[in-house]
Order: sequence, then C-alpha cells, then structure tokens
Amino acid sequence: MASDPAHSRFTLDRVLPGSPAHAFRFWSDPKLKNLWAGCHPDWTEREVRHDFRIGGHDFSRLADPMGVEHEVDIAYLDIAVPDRVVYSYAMRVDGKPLSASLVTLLFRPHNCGSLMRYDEHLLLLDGSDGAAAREIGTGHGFDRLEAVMAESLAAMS
Amino acid sequence: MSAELDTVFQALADPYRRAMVSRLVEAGPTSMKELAAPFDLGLPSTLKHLKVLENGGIITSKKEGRVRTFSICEEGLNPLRTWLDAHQRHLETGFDRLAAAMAANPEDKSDGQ
Repeated sequence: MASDPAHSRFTLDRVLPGSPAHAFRFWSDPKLKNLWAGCHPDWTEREVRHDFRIGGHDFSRLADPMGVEHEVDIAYLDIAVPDRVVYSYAMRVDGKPLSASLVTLLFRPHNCGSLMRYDEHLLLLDGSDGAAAREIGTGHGFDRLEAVMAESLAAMS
Repeated sequence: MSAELDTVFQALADPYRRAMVSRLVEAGPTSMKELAAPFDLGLPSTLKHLKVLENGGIITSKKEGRVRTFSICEEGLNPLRTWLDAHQRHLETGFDRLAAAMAANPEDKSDGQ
C-alpha cells in the first residue's frame, strides 16, 4: 500500500506556546478553532455543523466566489483530553470525492509549551471530474488547487 | 501542469490501475502478462488500463521481440507530489495561525492544567 501513489502518509511536528490543554482547546472549541482555521472570508457558508465528541461530526459546505461548493466532513473517532484526537475526514468538491484521510493528533508537554504531532494518512480520490480540476485546467495552475486545500483547512473549523 | 494533474487523477482513479502502478513501483519493469496475472482481467482489459496509465505519463512501455514490458515513469507522478506538497504547506500555514492564536489568548487555568 505504501507504494500506491494515491496513498500518502506524512507527519508534521509543531512546537506550540502553552500547555497541551491550551492547545487542545484550539481544536475542540469551535470559537477558538475559528481563530486559526478560517481564512476565506469571501466564501459563502452554506452549511456548518460542529459536534466535537467521539462519534460526532464536523461538517461544512462552503461556496467559493465562483459558486463551486467545497465540503469537509470530519468524523471524530477517538478523543482523549488533552492528549489525543483521532479523526477521519473527507473532502468533496462539487459533490465529487477529492480525498479521504485518517488523522492522529497528539499533544505532549515540551519545555514551556507543547509539542503537537499531526499524522495524516491521505488517499486521493477521483477529483478529476470536479470543479477544482476543471478550474485548474483553465490556467490558474496550482493556485486554484492550493486555494481548495486552504479552504479545506478553513472548513475544518 | 494542471492538465497533467487532471490526467494523473483520472489515471489513478481505478483500483486495478493503482494496483498495477504499485506492482511496477515494487517490481520494476514487468510484462503485460505478468501484470494481468493477479487479476481476473483479460489481456484486452489489462491493456486498456495500461494504455490509460501510459497516456497519463505515469508508465512507459517498450517492446522487445514479442514481449511488451511496462515500467514506471518517475516524472509522471510529479503533479500528485505537488498536490500533496500544497496540502502540507497549507496545514503548516494553518499551524502558524494556531500558534499565533494560542499566544494571543490566555490559558484557562481553571481546569488545573
């Protein structure tokens, strides 16, 4: 499976200011998560739900200025305050599956702050018929795609 | 660049094709017959899948005598890597904002942390 190019696994480590409990709240509290995860003020909110608990879903459907809809569906699989969150998420563009991921988020005390480890196993799906790929094909290069990716983060809030 | 990504997505959208690419990554150049062997696919269907991958620039083929062998074309997967790089870059940018937001908001000590 590791050699399947549609699969990718990567880990990002980040030292954060504040305790693991402080860091954790910026993922669990939608108001605090909005402070950092939202970054597309010009996109229209169509549907946004938060339910941070084991078995709960965060869901967002946003429309970009071209009217293309971007969905992010998060399912919380495991939550251990303030050490760990395990969730899966799927991204869809224009209703077409773009990716599916499993994420493990770990928080550990580190010097005066925390160490956050973000581990993602991502599977790229057939997004080729979707609006993202179509727009990419019109000459915006990867800027458009990057915007889609950025919005996926924004939509996680 | 972007049309390439489109093609790569399409080429890899099929589980048979992904399995064939995996096999070529692991085993190196392989004949069509060997590629077809693990699957319940006839040679014509196998060839069709391989053609999609070849047209997508992901694999390349060479005919020696009567045997056609396929191998991975490394550059063919670059658009995918670029996509993943963009994904990671945007996560990192989000985490920059997370660190800034944490520093700008006081810790809640009420829960004993």
